[in-house]
Amino acid sequence: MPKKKRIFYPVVFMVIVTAFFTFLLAFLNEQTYERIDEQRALEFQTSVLYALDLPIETMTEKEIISFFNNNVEEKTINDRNYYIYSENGTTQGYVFQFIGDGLWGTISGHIALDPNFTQLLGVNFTDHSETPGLGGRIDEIEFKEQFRNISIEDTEQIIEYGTASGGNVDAISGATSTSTAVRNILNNEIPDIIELTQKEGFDE
Amino acid sequence: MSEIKKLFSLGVWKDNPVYRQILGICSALAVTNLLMNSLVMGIGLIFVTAFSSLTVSLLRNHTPKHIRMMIEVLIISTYVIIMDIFLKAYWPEMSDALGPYVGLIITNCIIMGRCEAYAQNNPPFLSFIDGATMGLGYTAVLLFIAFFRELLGFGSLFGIQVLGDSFMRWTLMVMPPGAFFMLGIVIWIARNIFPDQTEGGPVNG
Amino acid sequence: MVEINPLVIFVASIFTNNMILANFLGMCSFIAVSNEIETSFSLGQAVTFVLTATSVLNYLIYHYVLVPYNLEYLRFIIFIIVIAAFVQLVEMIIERYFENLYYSLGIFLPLITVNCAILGVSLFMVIRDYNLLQSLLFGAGSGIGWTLAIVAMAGIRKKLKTASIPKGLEGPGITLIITGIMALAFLGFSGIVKIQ
Repeated sequence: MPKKKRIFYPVVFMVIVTAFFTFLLAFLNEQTYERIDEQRALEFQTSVLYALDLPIETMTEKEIISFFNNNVEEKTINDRNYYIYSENGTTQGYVFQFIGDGLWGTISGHIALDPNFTQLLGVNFTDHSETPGLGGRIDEIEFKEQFRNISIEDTEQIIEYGTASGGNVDAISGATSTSTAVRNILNNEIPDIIELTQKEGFDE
Repeated sequence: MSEIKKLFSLGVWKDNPVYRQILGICSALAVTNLLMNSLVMGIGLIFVTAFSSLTVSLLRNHTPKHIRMMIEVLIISTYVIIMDIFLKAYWPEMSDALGPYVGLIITNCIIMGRCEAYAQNNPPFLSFIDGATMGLGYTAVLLFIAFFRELLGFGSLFGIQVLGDSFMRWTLMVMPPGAFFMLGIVIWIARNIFPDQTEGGPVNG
Repeated sequence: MVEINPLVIFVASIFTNNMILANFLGMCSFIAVSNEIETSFSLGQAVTFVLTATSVLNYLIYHYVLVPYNLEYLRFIIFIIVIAAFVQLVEMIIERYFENLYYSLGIFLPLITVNCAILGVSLFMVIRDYNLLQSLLFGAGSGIGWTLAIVAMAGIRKKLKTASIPKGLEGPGITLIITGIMALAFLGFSGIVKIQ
């Protein structure tokens, strides 16, 4: 009898304590999961709108969410998602996600193109593992703003570093590898994207 | 009151979990490249350690001996999840910056150490204080290390640029080797200021 | 799921993303045990074994139980309980059937439960969205990398016994400094392969 009690009590105790804490967590989760999902979506939506050169700094979180939901549509072509931004019925831009090799890990982000595929509207980086303070500076506004309204008609070499010698963008000083990686990613992705847009089923 | 003072001086100075007990090293190295991240991690650890110690102490007379560690792990995990949920919902950028190191608070030896060494044998209120002061000592060391790493590596403090552009940043300070060196130096300094009188591990209440 | 060759993950987790030298995980037992080569190697083997097994177990539980029922927020509790239970089980089996192994390895097993590297690998696997094979090789590689670091450290510390070190630096202090130098060296491996 005593032996059964010895095993019985710990098990019951464990079950009660586990149940109590699990209920506590489930309750908390219930209260917050909507907000957590919203935050994650917000991060994504902000990135897309930023790439499109929209004035997100002046918008509140609610405004960003409602703007995105009203004006941006998600579609797929060849298993790749893309986003169509339209205002008053006319398409103003397309946004594609990209992922490529950086120095320390992969770099991913968004590329926004104008409806005629003649210009790069902008880029944003959503994830990377580059060196903080060096390659990591690709997140800085000054670097990203350089990629506004760059002509992509000549698909041979879209991004070229060295504005002093005829290029259209400046690399990050001290972060040659990361800068090169970004340039290569963009120069490879943009022609690929343009090719995708010419396939049947695009924006229908 | 004197008991609280004693706990405070132990947790922060004399028996500091990081430089004396050599516990909680993993996160002390990982997040100290930025002062803000260190502060958040420190506050999180104070929260988890204090409440875990409190809960363990409340249950100490009812917990069967041989499942005691599993109960402790359960309690610690619960508070860590609370912290994780809170960060994800209200401060997602910080949640991303701290990454998996929030979850790793569970394995932070400081918390388990305090539960085993103090909370098991002491009343709830004092256990809470013990947990909080140990967390405070941990936070203090983290902030000290982060001060140097962020200043030398980024030229900033709490994200605000302090040193001008002409300062050549020691990027190595914000990368893993810099973390190891800084912590080694901190332990060296601490050992010289507080020489080993009683090399007997953490003090029991 | 990311399209990275599992073998690449395996090699990278040993060198470029070494658990100790790049991710700071498993430091407590690393500092404590690395003064003896034999015990370091034994502990490393145990860690590798537990890492490989628990990354697979946790992968299965996460993707077949937690995700379908929207219980991802419980993953911390579940993972650590799986790890603790697995270690307990292994300890019981070894004690019963492999007594020799128990005497050399068994005492380390409880230490492994709180080794942050074990939980860390499971958490990384979830964050980086690896598939089963990638997780398996990630766990195995991380264990081997951890073992590599601790055995190398033990070898160095053995030489250090005859060197004169400033009083305050003895033990953890000098171990950390040396780890820093090793981390510096391993930084040179970066860029060869990418796994995140």
